[in-house]
Amino acid sequence: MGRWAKLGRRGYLAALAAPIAISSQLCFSQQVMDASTQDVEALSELSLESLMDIDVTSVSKKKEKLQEAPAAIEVLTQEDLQKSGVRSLPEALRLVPGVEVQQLDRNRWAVSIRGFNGAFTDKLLVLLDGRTLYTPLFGGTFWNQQIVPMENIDRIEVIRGPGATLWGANAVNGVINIITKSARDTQGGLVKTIYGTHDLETVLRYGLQIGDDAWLRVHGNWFHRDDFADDSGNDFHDDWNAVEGGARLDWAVSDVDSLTVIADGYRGRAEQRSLRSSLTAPYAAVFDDRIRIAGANILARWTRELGGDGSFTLQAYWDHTVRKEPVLAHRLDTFDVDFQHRLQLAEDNELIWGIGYRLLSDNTDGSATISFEPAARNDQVFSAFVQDDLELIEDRLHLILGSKFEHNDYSGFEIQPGLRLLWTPSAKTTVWGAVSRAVKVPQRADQDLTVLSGTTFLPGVPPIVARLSGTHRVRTEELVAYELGWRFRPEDNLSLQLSFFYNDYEHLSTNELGTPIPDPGGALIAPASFGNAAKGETYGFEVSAEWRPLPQWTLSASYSFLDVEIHERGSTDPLAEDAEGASPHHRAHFRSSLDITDDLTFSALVFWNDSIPNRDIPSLLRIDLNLIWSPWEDFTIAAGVRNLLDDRHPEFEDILGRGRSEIERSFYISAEYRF
Amino acid sequence: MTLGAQQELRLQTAPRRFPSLVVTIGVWMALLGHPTATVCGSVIHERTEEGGIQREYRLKAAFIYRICQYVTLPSTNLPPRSKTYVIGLVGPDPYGAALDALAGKKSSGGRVVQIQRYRSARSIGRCQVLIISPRLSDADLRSALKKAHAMKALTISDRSKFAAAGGMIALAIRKKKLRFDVNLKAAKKSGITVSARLLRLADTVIRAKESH
Repeated sequence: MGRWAKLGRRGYLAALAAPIAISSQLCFSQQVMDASTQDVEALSELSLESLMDIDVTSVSKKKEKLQEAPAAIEVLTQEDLQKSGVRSLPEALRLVPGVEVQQLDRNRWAVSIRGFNGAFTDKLLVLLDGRTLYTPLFGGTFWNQQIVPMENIDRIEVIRGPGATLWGANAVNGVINIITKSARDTQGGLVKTIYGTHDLETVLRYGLQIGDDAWLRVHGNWFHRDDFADDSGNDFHDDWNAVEGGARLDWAVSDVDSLTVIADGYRGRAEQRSLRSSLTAPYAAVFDDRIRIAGANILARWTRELGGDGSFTLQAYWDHTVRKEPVLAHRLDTFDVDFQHRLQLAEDNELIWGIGYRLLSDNTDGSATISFEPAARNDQVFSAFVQDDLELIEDRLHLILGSKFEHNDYSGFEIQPGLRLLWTPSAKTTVWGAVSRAVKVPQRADQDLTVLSGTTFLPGVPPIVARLSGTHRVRTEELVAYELGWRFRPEDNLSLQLSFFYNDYEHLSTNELGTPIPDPGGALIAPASFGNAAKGETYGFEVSAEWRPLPQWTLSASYSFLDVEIHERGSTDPLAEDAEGASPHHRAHFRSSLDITDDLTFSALVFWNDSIPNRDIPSLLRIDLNLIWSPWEDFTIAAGVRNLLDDRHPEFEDILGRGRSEIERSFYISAEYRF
Repeated sequence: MTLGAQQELRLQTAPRRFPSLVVTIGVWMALLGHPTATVCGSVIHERTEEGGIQREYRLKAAFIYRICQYVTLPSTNLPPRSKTYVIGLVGPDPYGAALDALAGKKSSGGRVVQIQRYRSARSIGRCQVLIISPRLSDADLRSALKKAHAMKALTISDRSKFAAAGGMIALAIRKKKLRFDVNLKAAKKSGITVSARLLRLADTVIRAKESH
């Protein structure tokens, strides 16, 4: 389904696929030279002028084009990750301007973009090397099931705003695209251990070359992340342990073909406090649950560069995940195959199209608290997309038109068109605008779930147990987004980005209450079912800047403003307008990284957000510091503190009322050896 | 689940940190006792001799070879009687066999081109031309430039903003063609002369301020 699509020359995630194949185009200059067949021997006999006349396009070229992307895109590099000392994906996302990251406990985060944040955020598409990470159970991401050693990440690309035209359903408010390094770039060995007040983690990695044009990497990783505390300082029982291992093969099969195979497996355990309601006494109790997580996946991607500036990519993956909570076990197998073709129709017209198929086969084992009916289900998604990039004025004005077409077993046929205009008045300035439609289709939970979601004790009446059920009447949530952006790079060492958005949502999800039913167990059941009785608007802007005053000093800063307005339309849901107060209005971050000497780097990270009224969270200032020292060439040690300013503070609260974990101050040291 | 079962759950979780700690220490001990640990910092790293023939880098390798013929190095770096002309590459190698294909060719003064690879800035040895990998870290870039300046070597790279960072010849792909910028100021500082013909072909030439 092209979620991993290379958007082509002017695309916003251009350099996404198969970074191994640095491709150049054969072409025709006056001498009709084909650079692909000429060897260095022959080329080096040509004059400088002739060499400069040979056509070449490359992946690095596409990377430069990110500066001209017609979307609000941010890229976090390996260097950023290294210098900030983060150890998990959500913590890494905290560094990206405009991404809302609030930690719920030691192993859970609420991550969102442009509002609607929560433990079950469902309007974000998250991909790892082209593999979708969100669970079809509710359409969000179980962050404690996503285990990637930070050392393997090449970059994280984040698009704020809808990416549905190419990426499809769920890419409503943003796309997070995590790309790991090619095996070619991770040759040799690495061992790293992090030890701290809340962490113990070891990463092992070894990369080797097999044959002339193939590279292999294997890695293993295990960690224990220690509990945080509740507001009185007692263990919250939210620790997190996992063992993970994987391998990656990058093979330049020929000058035009490249093959990437990535396999990964993990097993782990996350502790989580849960509040369980029941229809018998005591009707509600708090448990410290242990969640078992496990999974394995394999992905293969074949890319071929075609003549005339085209390429195609064929990708298939299988992903198996297991999640066992005491009240619900879920096994899921995803099989996905995608094909995508990029071609240059004319000098000024580039077309990219693709088709995809996905089979989701799952099996749930529920309990009296939570269950799915049917317990097992097979769902299919068929999709196709097409996008055309028209160069209206050479090097100045581009029109990008496209649409995604998708058929799924929940809402049937969905169309998600988009229109983007890109204006580059000079090499230093880019202005873009976009209008796009995106949908969040109903997920498994929306149709098939039954959950006892809470108990209310009132004097004089029986305990009221809320029972939320899925229904086949649930509709697709729709968004029409209007965006305007400006990117300015006055100097090589200074870049600025500004983006405005206005999002118009229809049929937002609500929980509609029914008439209470007395239960033989003594409780009163308050039934509720999913509905779509709300609409809303969000608007705001994000501004970010990066400045390198000295070659060894990088500063970056961002500020974002967000306002969420939800209007219930005859809804009985008391929380229908909850999202209005579930995200802070103001959010800012500042990062400084200074290489004091060639061997010593100091970085400081400052995060600030305004209060979150509906989660009872006051405004928050957090500072992390890191010091990295390489006493010898292959050996690096680092030390750092996270959350310097206070002993502990809450960052968010889910609405399930299970009490909250507070984010403690933590220290760590790490040692890394490369051989 | 009853409260009793919940307590049982807690009991099972008791020894958590201990096994991982033992394994971690074991790994480090095994590693530090391993022979590879003692040979760190070898000048040329085997594994970076990647054989991938990539078209773009074949072109760049050929281009670098041609550029060298329009540059005159100071005699402190290139004594008149020396027989070899060393082209070094520091950092992860995208050129692979394309660079090796230059070995054995004749440089302008009849010297024989040799190719050397350095894993990081610290292991850079004597060379006439230093190619800097686009994937070298920024910190390493600065020390590589320092080293090159100390031995008066010509620096070439296709990394972005290379000329602005103090590199001499910055290669770039612009409008699908291979282009380059010259930081003449940096070259002059190292006593390197760049021919007028090369400067004419460059997109941008950074010159020293005409202060004296």
